[in-house]
Amino acid sequence: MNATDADALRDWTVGADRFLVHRCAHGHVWASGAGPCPQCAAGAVTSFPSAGRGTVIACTLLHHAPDGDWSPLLPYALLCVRLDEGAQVLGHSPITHRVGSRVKARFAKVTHRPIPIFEQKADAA
Amino acid sequence: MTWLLASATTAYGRHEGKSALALMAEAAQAALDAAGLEAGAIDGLVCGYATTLPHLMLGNVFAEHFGLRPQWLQSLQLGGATGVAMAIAAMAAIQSGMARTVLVVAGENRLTGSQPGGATKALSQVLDADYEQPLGAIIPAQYALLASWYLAERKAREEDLAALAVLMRRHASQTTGAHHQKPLTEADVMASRPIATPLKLLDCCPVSDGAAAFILSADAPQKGAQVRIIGAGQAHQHQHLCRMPDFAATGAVAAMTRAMAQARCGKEDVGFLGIYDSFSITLALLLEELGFAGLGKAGQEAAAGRFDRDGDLPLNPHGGLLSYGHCGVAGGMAHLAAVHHALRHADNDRLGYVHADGGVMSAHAALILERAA
Repeated sequence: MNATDADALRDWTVGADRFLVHRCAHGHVWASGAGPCPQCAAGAVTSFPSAGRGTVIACTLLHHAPDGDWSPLLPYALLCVRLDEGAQVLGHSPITHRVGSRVKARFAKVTHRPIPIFEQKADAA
Repeated sequence: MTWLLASATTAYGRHEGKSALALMAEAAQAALDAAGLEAGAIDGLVCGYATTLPHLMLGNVFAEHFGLRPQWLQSLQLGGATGVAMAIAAMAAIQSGMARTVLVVAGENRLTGSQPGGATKALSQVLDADYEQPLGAIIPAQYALLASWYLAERKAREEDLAALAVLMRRHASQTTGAHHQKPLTEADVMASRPIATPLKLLDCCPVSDGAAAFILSADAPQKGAQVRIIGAGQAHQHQHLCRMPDFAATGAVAAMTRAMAQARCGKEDVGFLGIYDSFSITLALLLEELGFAGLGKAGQEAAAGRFDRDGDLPLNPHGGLLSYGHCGVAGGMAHLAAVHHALRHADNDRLGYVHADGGVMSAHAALILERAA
């Protein structure tokens, strides 16, 4: 899908329950906003929704929260996931995951707004 | 030629009742005294930032407070890389002729002058406002993510990271003015409370009060060992973890390569290291990416004594951020002061290499120091 209007460029940060992957002419992919490519400054030539499946690159279980909204949820996990479409994203989980695990995202409100929550998926392959 | 005339740090730790400006003035005066200069000799000034004194014009405020009227002035903000980048800015000003003798100063009362949770909140600025902060992330969690990747990718153990904290504490226990001096074991680090797995409290630097200052000049020092800065480099490849393409190539090598090209030297010429250590993992990642330790081996090499004060490659002989302490910009200046001190008293002519990172391995600044024959 080629993103041609503002709606097509909405991701979870603005109320759409998905990651949106952008690819530049050099093949770099990112899912952190529709601005210029973070690696080479080129514009995105395509933008498309991710299926939300990926592999855990890094995971930490937090025992210290940024503020009172988050502290009742401790401990909770923060993950860095390589989506199958190639982009790297961060997400939340109530439990920790092993590096290399397969996960799938859903989007739900944890404190104030919907955020990506990763769940273990044996069948996420 | 840029000479490092003097470097000075206050004690780091608790300075109840002292303001950021008072701490900065204390370090600046100590540096002037060490250089044997009057304030009137300073014609350039570089300041950092202070989270306890957010100000649009901190450099001007300090100049007025300390009675300086510089012809060249800058304030810099590059997170943890600021201290080293300030020295690079001073070097550039001297080499371009905009200033002849430059005072570089930073400090703050981050421990005793912050609102509860204030330091964490100020530091959270470096997390992406849309893609990271809404997930409940904090700075230690970003480094913890890198640590979890590191342990899996390089088959290292949590004990290996602990060994780096133990080394920093051992060095701090031998340094007057260090924030934490009680000796530690790996078991102590392992048993400390979890902050963000796999990082535990003692894998993380403390929050301190303190200040540091350097004086750089086009004129060589009149007395004592002469140390000059012969190479500088920076690299800035990303700001946020969510846009960091390769955890193994963060920009550290790019910064070092630029500094070494300018200094016309190689890693084999380096004999003293000052490497940023906000967390044990920061030190492991930098040592290994830079090639001063084998991949996954930084902790084991530290435990084997390679980075001891009398080892092959002395590292952060003052105790680093992890134990000398972390008072913001000045925290990252103490490494340069420590390497400067080591070079002045060395019994060989090997070079000093200082490297700092800001953000989440985001801003890299590197300097190479040489003692003149």
